[in-house]
Amino acid sequence: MKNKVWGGVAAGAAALVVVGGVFVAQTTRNNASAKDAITGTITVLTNRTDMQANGMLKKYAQEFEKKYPGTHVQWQTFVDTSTVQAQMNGGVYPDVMLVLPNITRDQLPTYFAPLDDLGLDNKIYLKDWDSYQGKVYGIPSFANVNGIVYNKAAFRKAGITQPPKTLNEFYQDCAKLKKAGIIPIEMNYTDKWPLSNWSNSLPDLIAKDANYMNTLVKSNAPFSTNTPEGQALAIARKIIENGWAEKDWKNTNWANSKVLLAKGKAAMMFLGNWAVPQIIADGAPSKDVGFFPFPASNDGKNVAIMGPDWCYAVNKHSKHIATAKAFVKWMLLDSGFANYAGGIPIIKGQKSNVPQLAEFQKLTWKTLTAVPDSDKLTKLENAAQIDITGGGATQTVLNAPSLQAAFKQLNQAWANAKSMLGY
Amino acid sequence: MGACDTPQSPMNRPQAGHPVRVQPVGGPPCIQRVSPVWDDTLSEAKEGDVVSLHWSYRTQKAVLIISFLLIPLALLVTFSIYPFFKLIYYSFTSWDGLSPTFTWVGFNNYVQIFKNPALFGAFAHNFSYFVGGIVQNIFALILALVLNSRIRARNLFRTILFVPYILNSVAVVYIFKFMYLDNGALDILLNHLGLSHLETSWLGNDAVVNWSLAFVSFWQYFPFNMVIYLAALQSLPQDMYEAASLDGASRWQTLWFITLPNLKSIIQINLLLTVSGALEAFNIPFVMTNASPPTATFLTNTMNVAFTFHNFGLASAMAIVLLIIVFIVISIQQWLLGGRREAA
Amino acid sequence: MKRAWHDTVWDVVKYVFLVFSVLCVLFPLYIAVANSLKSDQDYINLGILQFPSHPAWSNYVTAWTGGALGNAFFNTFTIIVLAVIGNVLLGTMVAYVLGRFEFPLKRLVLGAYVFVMFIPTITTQVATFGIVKNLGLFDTRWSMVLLYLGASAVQIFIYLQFIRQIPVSLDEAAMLEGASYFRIYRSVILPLLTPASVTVAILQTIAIYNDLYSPYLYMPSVNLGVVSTALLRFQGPYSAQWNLILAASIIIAIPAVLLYLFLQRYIFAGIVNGAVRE
Repeated sequence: MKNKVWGGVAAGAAALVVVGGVFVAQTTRNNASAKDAITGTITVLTNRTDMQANGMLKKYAQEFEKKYPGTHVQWQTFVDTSTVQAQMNGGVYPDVMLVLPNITRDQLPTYFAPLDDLGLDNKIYLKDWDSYQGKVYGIPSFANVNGIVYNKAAFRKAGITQPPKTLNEFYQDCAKLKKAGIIPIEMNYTDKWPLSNWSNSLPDLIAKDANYMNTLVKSNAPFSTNTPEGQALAIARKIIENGWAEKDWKNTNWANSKVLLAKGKAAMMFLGNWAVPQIIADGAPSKDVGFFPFPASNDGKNVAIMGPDWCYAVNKHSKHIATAKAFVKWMLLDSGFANYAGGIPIIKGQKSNVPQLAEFQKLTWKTLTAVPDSDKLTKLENAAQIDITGGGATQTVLNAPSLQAAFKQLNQAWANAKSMLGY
Repeated sequence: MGACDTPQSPMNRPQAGHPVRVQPVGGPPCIQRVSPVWDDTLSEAKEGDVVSLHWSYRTQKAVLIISFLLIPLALLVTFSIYPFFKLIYYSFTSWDGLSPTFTWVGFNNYVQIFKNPALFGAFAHNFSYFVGGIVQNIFALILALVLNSRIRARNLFRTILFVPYILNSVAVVYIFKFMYLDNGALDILLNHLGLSHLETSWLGNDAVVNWSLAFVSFWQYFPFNMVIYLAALQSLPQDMYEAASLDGASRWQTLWFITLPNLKSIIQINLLLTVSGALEAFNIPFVMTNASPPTATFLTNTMNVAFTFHNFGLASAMAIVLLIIVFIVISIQQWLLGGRREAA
Repeated sequence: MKRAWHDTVWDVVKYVFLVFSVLCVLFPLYIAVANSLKSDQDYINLGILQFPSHPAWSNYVTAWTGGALGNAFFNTFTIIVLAVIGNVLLGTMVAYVLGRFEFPLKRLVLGAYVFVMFIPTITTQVATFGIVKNLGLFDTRWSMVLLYLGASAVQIFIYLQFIRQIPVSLDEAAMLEGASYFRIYRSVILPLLTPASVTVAILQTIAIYNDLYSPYLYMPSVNLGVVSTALLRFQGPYSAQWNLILAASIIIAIPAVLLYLFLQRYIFAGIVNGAVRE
């Protein structure tokens, strides 16, 4: 009978031991790390769910594992950044990371290991993009110029012989395309991120100043028809109001849109050169896919801004920092990912193999190098809950009853946040 | 019931010191109502009787209570109560979710929620889920009444009607996303029915989209309410109805004066679940429309504030406000419908 | 005569309503199945309402492999089994203590369970996340198991309601034979609570099968997908290919439907018990 009494106690105690054991395991685990050897399992974050589906991610992992025996690469994809953000808040995130938007530079050292010891500092463009106090924490996977990806066959069908050079021509072409029964330009409203170019890049293009966005912190009412920011959003809104976007524009996403563009049912998307190979992969012949700078003004002098795609970073708490760093270096130097993705390699001397880029260069008056958002701007956006970087602000403007109503709401939130932060 | 012929009524409850011998351990289940709680006096009195025990029942009781509650309570505290108090604490800070420092801001976050229409206004989108939930209950109740009347193939109907509830919710959202496509199945169906003037962009028209989303919730969850109403109807005593029909009561009178009053507590419970579900709508807009501005609910906004804008202080305050509102709405509802909940 | 006429009309109304409701339920499912079986060619050429004459079963193969659904089923199943076993053990333990003994703080314990029922769980994830991380369980199946393990208020109430219906005299008889309290729990209470445990198991299985946010947050690794997250991830790259997305959705629906057809009686009883005893 005694046994039976003890049975109950033991059941309770056994479970306690299990729970307790986990605590112990956690505290001892950290000592057994081999930080310098290139070995062990690393998790790698990627936004490319399409490459998971077509097996490219697996191929990269195998090639890296072959070069460094004893390593194992585990990919982690994400559908939206909020869960990655939650992982970072909890302090457990993949060994090889992507620097999320809305992270301020002064937060970089909290999360990431410096990458200067990769020996790439002198060999890459955009080295200072994600650096803080002289140390590099994030390296772009490749660079992009933003512009309009278009289907030349669709343009021909609408009787358009060459890409528009001015904003007015652009509007005229939209009207012609619509008349020809083709969706002139796809906005991809539901995905939100494709809208970020309108709120975050187009203002720079209108201002012909890569640092324009950082000057917003000085303004009390940056959203107006007199400011490049407001003008950019007004262009997006004009497209919607004239029916130049998808008919069901509030219910659209990029994966769907790129198929329509590849088939010529839609003509344009305001994205970047990285979109070109994906349109081709969806069945458009390469000669029919074109790329031109956004005609942001009527003077015909169209600028383009070269900026980074997602930036690699290494988790500073990683148990296999050396492996993670080796992987970043391998992705940049050996994987061929930049070209696969249709990007501009950031390694000096490597050439892009996207023919559309050469064409793009000819139409561009000047290519500026992007300037990263200042911490002040990021903090102001966050405090005002205006998502300029991620495209949420464009969504707000497109969705508002009128342009003026949207501007009023945004300016008010902006001014409130400014006074709250004491800017 | 035959197996349970042992004395069960509270009157026959064993008195301290004079236990009545009953059913042997491990006998067949006897589910009958008895007074539930055992008090200390009983176990104390037994102590002397049972010599084979090494531990007194009093010691056993203490050991058992502690060892049985330890893990469940540890889990409850760790995963529900502690995070909740953290939430309260965060709501008074401007924590960005990242930095190790917490700046105390008092009630600032709470003030901000009510000052910013973009945040609080999202409850307008919750409204359609709320209305949808009410309609869902009415629809489910009518179905239950019909199924409870004399009809053929009752079980077949019930089996089919329940199917939506057991489907995976993400799969359901995708199926409806497909239905709602421009020129999709719903539009074509309306065309065939000669109702093409009703066609619209189901997910693109601001006036319609939240109703489209609420309908998904309706479609998936009405079977749940239906089954509960049906079970409640089946448990109503038949003699009540016989008496009513002897008195010459019409169908409507029977429904209004006998059936519905007897279902009151069940209706309340169903509404309670539906209403709190409506206020906490998250999954459907999250999966269907990426919680775009016209479909953002208060909870999707909360997550957005936390994870897009790194404002965990504000997001925590929003969570607390939501909690308070759920409490208030439920209290109002209880008060309106009157009476007290009978179940537990 | 008049009465019979009345009844006929009433019957017609009833059946029309029922058939209408059944069509509302079946129409989306028919559309999903029909379109999931269309080849890319059929998808373009046939009307949305048409059923393909040559069903493209290959869509199901693509969805199964492309969505790693086998793996997702394995993960979901593992989590459900472990969590439900835990729920039954812990739930019955709590119910035994709360239902059979008086002790200080009893009301506090009960009140705590009721209270947490009202907290929208999604919002506390930031704090919960830190705990899961400190336990070293992040990105493991154990994180899910542990989160689901704690008995919920609903479960406790189901058990309490049932335990009150188990005659105390049974316990007393066992005591007369010298059984310890633990023995009573194991040999009397636990077996007699089986109907309640079936209820709890069914409700929890449905909840876990449907949960999206927790697995999404706590198990981000691709190989740790559960059915909900696997479907969500599958949708990303394939969102232009509705036939495949629908095939994946149907695959995920099938086991639940089969289980439902076999266990219908228990499921209805379970849901009713769950709601009414709340």
